[in-house]
Amino acid sequence: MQHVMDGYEVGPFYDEAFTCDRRPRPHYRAVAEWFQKHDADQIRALEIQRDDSFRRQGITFTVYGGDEGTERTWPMDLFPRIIPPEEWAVVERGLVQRVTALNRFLEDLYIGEQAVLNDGIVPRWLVTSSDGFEREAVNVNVPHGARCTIAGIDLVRDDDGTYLVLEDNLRNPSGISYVLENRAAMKKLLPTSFPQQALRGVDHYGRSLLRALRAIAPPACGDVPTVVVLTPGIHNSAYFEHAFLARQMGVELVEGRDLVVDDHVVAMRTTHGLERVDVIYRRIDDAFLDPVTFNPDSALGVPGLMGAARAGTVTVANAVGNGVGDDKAIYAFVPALIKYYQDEEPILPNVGTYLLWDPDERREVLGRMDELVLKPVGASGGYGIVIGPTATDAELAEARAQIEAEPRNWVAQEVVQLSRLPAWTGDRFAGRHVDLRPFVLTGEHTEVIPGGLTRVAMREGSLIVNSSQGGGSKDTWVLVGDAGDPSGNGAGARSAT
Amino acid sequence: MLARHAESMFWAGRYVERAEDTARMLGATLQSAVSAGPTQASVHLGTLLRTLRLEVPSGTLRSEEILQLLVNEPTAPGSIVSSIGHTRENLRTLREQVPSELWEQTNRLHLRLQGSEFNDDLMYDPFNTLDHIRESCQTLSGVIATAMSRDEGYRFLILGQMIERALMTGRLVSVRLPEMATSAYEEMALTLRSASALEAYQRAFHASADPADVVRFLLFSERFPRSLLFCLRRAEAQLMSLSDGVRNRALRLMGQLRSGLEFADLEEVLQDVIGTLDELDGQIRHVADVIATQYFRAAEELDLHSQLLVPGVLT
Repeated sequence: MQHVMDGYEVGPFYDEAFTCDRRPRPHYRAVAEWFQKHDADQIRALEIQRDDSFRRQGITFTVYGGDEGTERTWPMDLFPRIIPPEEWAVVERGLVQRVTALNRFLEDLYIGEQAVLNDGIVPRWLVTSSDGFEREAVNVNVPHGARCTIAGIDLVRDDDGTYLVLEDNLRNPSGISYVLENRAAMKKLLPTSFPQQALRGVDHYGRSLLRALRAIAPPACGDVPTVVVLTPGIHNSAYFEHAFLARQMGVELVEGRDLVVDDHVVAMRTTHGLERVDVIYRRIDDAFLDPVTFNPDSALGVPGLMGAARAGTVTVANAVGNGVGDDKAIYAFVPALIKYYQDEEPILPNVGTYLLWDPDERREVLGRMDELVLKPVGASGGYGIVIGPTATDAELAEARAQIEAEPRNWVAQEVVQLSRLPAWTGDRFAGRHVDLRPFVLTGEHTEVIPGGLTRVAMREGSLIVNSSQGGGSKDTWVLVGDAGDPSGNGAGARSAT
Repeated sequence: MLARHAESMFWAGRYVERAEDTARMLGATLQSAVSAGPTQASVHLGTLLRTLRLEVPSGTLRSEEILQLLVNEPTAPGSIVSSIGHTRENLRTLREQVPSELWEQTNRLHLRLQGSEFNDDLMYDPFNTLDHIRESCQTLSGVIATAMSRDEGYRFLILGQMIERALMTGRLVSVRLPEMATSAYEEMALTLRSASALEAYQRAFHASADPADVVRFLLFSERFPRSLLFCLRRAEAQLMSLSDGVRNRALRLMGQLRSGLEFADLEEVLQDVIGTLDELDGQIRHVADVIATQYFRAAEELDLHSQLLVPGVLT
């Protein structure tokens, strides 16, 4: 019988499941052995079951481009990613450290004295020239300084297996619903013969999110603040997630047209008239949030919302203006921010980054563009990225022209040979590159949800993991340590013996 | 609850009911065609279209065409695919409010209707296919009954369902009455089957062949869940629990409507069934409008106020 792991090649990469002599790493041994015992038909049967279940539940995402936006079922690979507790403990500490620094940085810029600029840690012009910097957000307070209430920090592992931060997402990071749905799907799908291991839970996300959102309610509001999720509506590609989060928290999912601002107070239209709203978890970009303040053509937003936020009668999460914090040119300064605000060494290093406004760095980059990754500073979701080694000459020439015209708006990074994991290719498992997006919540405290969203580049050799571009995903397991918290809900990871 | 969500619930209720009713009435009508002969079969299809408030094309109506139109024509208002599509769209915006089984069951039906084999199934095996649709809708009602909290959303859903059902039963009786007046038992049986009422009627009226008994049963039965009175009572009960004890306009109107029917003089009604039903139809629609103003646009007066915040006016 042909087994699905037969012929699996580790290749010249860091494989998270297998050592270079193709032996399973200890924390993958049981799972790898289980897969090794199965043939392609058995795996295909599970795949069909998974697709049926996702389709029935409407767990889909919209792919734009082609003839029309089409709904596809969520691609979840059956081979889980497994992270041992002692490894996760380091990642978790690093994430808390990084998000804390970013929150302090944003607080300093918008509420504080901009000490970080006055002390010359970050050039002032770099901040004021960032598309994500919103003057409208100056003096708009967020209790506890939790401006990034929900952060998604993209991590990759290089060819030594070292975790590196690839980028920060501090505006509207999405994907957490798939973390929870992946786990739920795996629980339903995997037969009882599958090795059973104690995992840190993820199901408490809704509760943790609600706790964080309530913690940042305006101090003057009542004992139980009214929280809503604000969505652009059903046609948004992440609508499934918006509805999912509202359901998990048991709060209303509103659209702009459901809200009114009267005398700097935000209220929603209910069957019994208007009801006051205290915290808005908005999944609408800054530019569309309030047609009075920002884009006057936006029909998605709420006229007067920024006025209410400034008056302190409502908290908007994530805070307006966070885009400056995940600007890819600011990213290069995050290790310096950690030293500046916390006087600590960064636990999770950055990927080596070149800032292209600097003439020397620009010259070097333009001389070896075909070896680097070129990124526009303000984009997210993988849009606009040029991967030097695979780009055509025309693409490189166009990137060069854009960089020379607007060097502030580009950065270059060394290519990281992302780590790999086995992924299903239709008839067998083969190594595919992965990244990891953990989610970090900040209310009164900062908390990391164990694991996160593992994305997989399904095409052989590809480094593009975005689901809009054919990427897949994996359930991500953080193992409970020997001294670990059996509920799986504890904030701090503990090291195993 | 959010006014917009309440409105979506209400319409989800109406669309589910319409899909189920259409499947049931169409199945009954097509089955009657097997033995009725082509002329009478065409008449039956015509009454079905009128019951559904659709235009009746001239010439002889053919079963396949009407089947296609009422089930699988996405652009036809009230076709089953469009009703289920609308139910799904309404529930999609309510996913966080309703039990996931409700969404999944609706989605499953929607996917079956959109599937590549569906049209063949419909053409080669129309009765089983229509039965399947009806059963899927009944499963939805079962999920609503067993898995939904009796909250505001539930009330609006049932309210929509009852209003649609009341309108449907009223029109069924009024459109089918001239055919039933021939006193052919087949015609009465078709009317009753169209409302899933044949067996219940036979028990209650011992298979009486008097069309007046059919009218009496479908309008006034206190026990049969598709009778007009039963639907209005249930709709009134929803408005009662939504009103928090305040006799608002929608509740008052619905109460008047229900008691007008409940205490009507049967002989008077029988003298002008069609006229009475036309009037009731208009009144039920009016209550639906009042419900919309009262609950779905409760905060509308503030719209005017919020206009003042548009730039230029404010500064």
